Amino acid sequence: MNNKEKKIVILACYQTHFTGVNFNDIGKYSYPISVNIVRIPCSGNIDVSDVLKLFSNGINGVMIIGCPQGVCKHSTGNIEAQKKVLIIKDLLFLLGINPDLFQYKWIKYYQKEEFFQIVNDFIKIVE
Amino acid sequence: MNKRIAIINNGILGIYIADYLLKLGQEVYIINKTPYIFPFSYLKKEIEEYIDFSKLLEVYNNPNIKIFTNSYITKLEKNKKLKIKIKKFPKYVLEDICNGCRQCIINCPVQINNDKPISIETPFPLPYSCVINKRHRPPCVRRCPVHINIQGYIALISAGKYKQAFSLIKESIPLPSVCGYVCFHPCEQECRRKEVDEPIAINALKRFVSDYNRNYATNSKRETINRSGEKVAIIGSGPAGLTAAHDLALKNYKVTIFERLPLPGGLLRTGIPEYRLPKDILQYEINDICNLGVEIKTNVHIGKDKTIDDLFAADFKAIFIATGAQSGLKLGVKGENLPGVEDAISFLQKVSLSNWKYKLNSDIKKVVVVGGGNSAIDSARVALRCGAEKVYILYRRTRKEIPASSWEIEEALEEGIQIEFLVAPVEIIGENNKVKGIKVQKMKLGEPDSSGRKTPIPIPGSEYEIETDMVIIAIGQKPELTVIKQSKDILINKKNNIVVDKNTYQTNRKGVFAGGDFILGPSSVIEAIKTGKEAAIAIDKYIKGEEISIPPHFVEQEEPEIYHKDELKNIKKQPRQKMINSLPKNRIKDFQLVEQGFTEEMAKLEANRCLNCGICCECGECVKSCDLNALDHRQKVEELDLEIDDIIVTSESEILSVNPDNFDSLVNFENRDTLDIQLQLQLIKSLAIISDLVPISYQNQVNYKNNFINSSINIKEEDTKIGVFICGCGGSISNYLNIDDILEFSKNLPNVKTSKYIHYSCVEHGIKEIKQTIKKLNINKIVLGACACCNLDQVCSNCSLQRNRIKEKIFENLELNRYVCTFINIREHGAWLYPFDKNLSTKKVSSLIYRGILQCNDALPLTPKSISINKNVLIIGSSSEIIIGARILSEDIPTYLILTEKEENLSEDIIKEYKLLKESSNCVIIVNPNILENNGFIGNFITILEINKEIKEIKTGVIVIDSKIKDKLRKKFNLKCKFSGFNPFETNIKGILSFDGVNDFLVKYGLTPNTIGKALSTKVRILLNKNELLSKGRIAKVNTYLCRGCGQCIEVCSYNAISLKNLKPEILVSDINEFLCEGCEICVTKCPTGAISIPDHTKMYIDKLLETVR
Repeated sequence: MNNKEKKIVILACYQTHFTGVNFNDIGKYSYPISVNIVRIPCSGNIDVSDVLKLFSNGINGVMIIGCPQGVCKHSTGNIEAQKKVLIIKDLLFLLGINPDLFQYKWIKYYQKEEFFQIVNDFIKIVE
Repeated sequence: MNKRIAIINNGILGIYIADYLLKLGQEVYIINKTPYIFPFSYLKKEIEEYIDFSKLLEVYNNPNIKIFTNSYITKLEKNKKLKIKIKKFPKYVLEDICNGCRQCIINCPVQINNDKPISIETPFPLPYSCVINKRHRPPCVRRCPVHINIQGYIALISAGKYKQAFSLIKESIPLPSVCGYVCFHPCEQECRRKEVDEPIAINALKRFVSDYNRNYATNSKRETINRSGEKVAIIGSGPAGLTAAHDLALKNYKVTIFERLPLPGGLLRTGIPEYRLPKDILQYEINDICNLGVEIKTNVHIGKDKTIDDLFAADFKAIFIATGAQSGLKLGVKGENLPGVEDAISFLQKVSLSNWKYKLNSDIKKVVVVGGGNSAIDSARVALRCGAEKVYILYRRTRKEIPASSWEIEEALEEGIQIEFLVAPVEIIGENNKVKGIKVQKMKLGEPDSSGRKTPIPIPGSEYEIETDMVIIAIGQKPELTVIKQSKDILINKKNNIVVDKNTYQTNRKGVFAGGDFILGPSSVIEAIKTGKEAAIAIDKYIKGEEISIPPHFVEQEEPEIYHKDELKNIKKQPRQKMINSLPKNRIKDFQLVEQGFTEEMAKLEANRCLNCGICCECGECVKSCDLNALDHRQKVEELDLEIDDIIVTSESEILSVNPDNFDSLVNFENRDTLDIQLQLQLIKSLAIISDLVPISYQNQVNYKNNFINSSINIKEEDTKIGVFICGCGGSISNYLNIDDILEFSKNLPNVKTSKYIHYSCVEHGIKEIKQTIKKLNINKIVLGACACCNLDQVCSNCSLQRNRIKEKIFENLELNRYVCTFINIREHGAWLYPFDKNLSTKKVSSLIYRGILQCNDALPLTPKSISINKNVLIIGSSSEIIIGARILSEDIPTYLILTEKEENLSEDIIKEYKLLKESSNCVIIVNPNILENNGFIGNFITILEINKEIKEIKTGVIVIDSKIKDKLRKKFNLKCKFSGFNPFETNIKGILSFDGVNDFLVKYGLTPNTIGKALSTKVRILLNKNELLSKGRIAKVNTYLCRGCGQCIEVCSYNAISLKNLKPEILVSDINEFLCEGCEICVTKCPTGAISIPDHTKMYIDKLLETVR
């Protein structure tokens, strides 16, 4: 399979800043077109079946981005997410999919470098 | 009635205080030194987590707030009311109009360490507009007699915008090439770069850009314009005359230039040799001026062929004399009248009129030039080219004092011309009516004279002879007065100079003006141009009959020059580019051009050396690029007077700006680094101050506009008509995309009725266009692709930025529900992602739009609900803070106080307060009841008490609970204290206040019970100060058929919005309180049966996503 066809879905919490490119960073930061960013109200609301559905429909990598502990706007959303992530990882392992293709990351506010770093690292893992 | 309170803002605290005050219905002025109300640089790493951008927007968006950015208080007076004076520094951008599309930033040519003088702060600028950073004009511009925008054109050259650079120069002078070749560039001596290494080669850059334009850019047909205005005569076609003609022609005057010689150009043609200024270049620029409608009559000698009176008789309304200083001064020595002695001006004129083909008589081998000015050097070099074998220049002083330009001397020496310093001629020796030699005397330097130069003193007995065949005298010129000889009424002073008003260029005869060397004496091209320019203004005013006053070219900015030497430290040294000169051996053979000019590469390298020390160069590129006319470079410092009731200063560093003795309301946010405890402490202090500051009689009800609902009519699937609008953001989006492809693509998607491109969707006409389309095609759902309001990606509903302008205005007078409109960020998430590949970004944006349309298809019109707020307050506890709080609240709010201790056990300090409270008719005191149950939510609490075996229900809006309350009681209220830096007193349950955390640092920071009591009362007031409570639109709903009542959702809900209720006896189902639900959807995914869902935001988004990814 051609590397360019690797499809990646990133589910990012609404509170995560810098999922786009700021004016000052035009040309500096970017991610490939195969990366699709979807904003969700909270990382805690990811559904186990949703993630599995994504994988079963040909998505090669899924990443969830939420806020660090203690900073969640909905106070416990990221903890809920953490619980689900463990379940999803186990399920993926059972299904014969490399659990590394699914990741959950916390990004602090205003850390644009971190965001693009994480996304581009993930792309490397998937490829 | 409300109070006006000014807040000197220095960060988060100011914003929060403003928020409190606004919620109490007060008017707030925020005065901020920086261009934005909350600059990103304020963020300290530790507190950034607590910044809530929506809070900022909420404050900013409030109609009761006025924001003064870039301003500070200069004066504070206290009479009955406080009067303050605010100095507001210009941003040069109109805040209300600018929408932050950044086209100006893209077009700005100035680059200073990757920054541009025009900028907009990221990530959240408020107000959302650009700011221009300006300083005092750079020294080069100030030194230039006509103030050409030097920094401007150099910046434009470095950006490769040669055409714009040329027209910028042309705005100031009509002869850019001529100037570029011959100007003595005083600007370069002032250049700040000289403190680092060498000054910028300013003039060579000007020459490069005008050469470039002459050779490449202008191929357009030049057409002569006919002017219809009054007639003006100009005598003399030198630089002054040409400039005045140019400027007057642009003002629609019919200008005629009279020139004595057969060719126009004055000294530019006859005084400056071909090797310095090729005459075809001069002719090119003269032709340019003629094309503006200027007529040049050559071979007309005013004073001989015609008189000034003749000109007035020929209906010329004004006459400008610019004949220059043409008659050479005499040496005053013996033998001066011998043939073979010439003055420099006539010698140069003779050579130039022969079209540089003149040759000296074959018997003239040696030539002596007397003088040290540029014309002396020119004559010497011309004589060399005309066939002289040896040329001497004699000068009275030393090389240090010589007035000729240093580079000219350098070149003359290269060519083999010998310069004798400290000699003066005594006699010209003749033989057979021919020059044979010149007798000279040695000199020494004495005391400085009035001009500052040292006077040469002859040394007696040091005479010697120099053999020569020709003497050229170049010791200066004076104006020739033949032009006014017959017009006797024009005054001439004792020194034989014309009497001219130096400010208006008027002579004593009405309508006669004079300029150039004619009044200045021998000077320079650029100074002559200056007089021509100013005389043109004077003549224009004279003919119009206005009072003649010439405005200064620019008014200096008020601020003194700020330029730190430290700034120069980090600049890398880079030598100045040097023009290549043709070899002296070759160039003396004919009149070929000596200096070869810059190549494009050299010009760019040289232009990049500019330090841009004025920061903004005012080149006008931003003004041209702004389609909204939001820029105003002429903005000035504004002084505003405000009448206010009180002032709050939020930072210690700001206290000095106002006299602290004048007022007592000072919140001191000392140590911003120590995080939330400190912050909460400050917030509590400010709440307490507000309670003093804003008496009850001033408090206003705040009515929140329910601006969500316009129509809640359900749209049937088959009736859905979606309108897709793509905002171009004036180019910031459209330049990165193939808009047509996107429009074409979106047209064919399900239910899309139309797709349209809007140049700017957030300005009046853009909104109008959208509205018209909506009305015309009966569109009932909108997808708008535009920029993001903020980094939160348009989730918040209280947004106030550009996008909100659209939102607000689109929904005005339209039957559209907010929830059926999808806004997509195609700028940060599409257009700007792949700036170098249009196809990629088009693909990305298309997929975003596709997803948006699918989402929009499913969107339902939602209606938030509202519920009225109970205005009572319940206070539980018996500590001093509680009693004081209750006492203040009972002044106007019906208060229930539940005492948990016996009256006798109250501490002595507050007995007085308690007695007051007891007397108050507004307060009901219940001592030690049995609290059975507490139900409800903020605004509508129901507390059930048992007093003396009697069950009593108390309905309140807000509950305050003492921190010392027993755990048993605490459980009844479900209370777990939440400690957060930004929400003092708030607990895990909305509407129940406590101060648990406060006790810990009460002693440490010296917070008195009094302060806490006051702060509590303010907090309660803020919560109760609205009429109704609004629910969020997009909230979770329970399908009671599917719900098993397992209660898992209750565990995950962090808003306590879910509870179990009996649907039927013994059947429990979850119940979601619509006023508490925030729509986070965590419960939706937790629910094992899928009973909880959010109406239009179901799990289907994954399917939609998959569809667009494929």
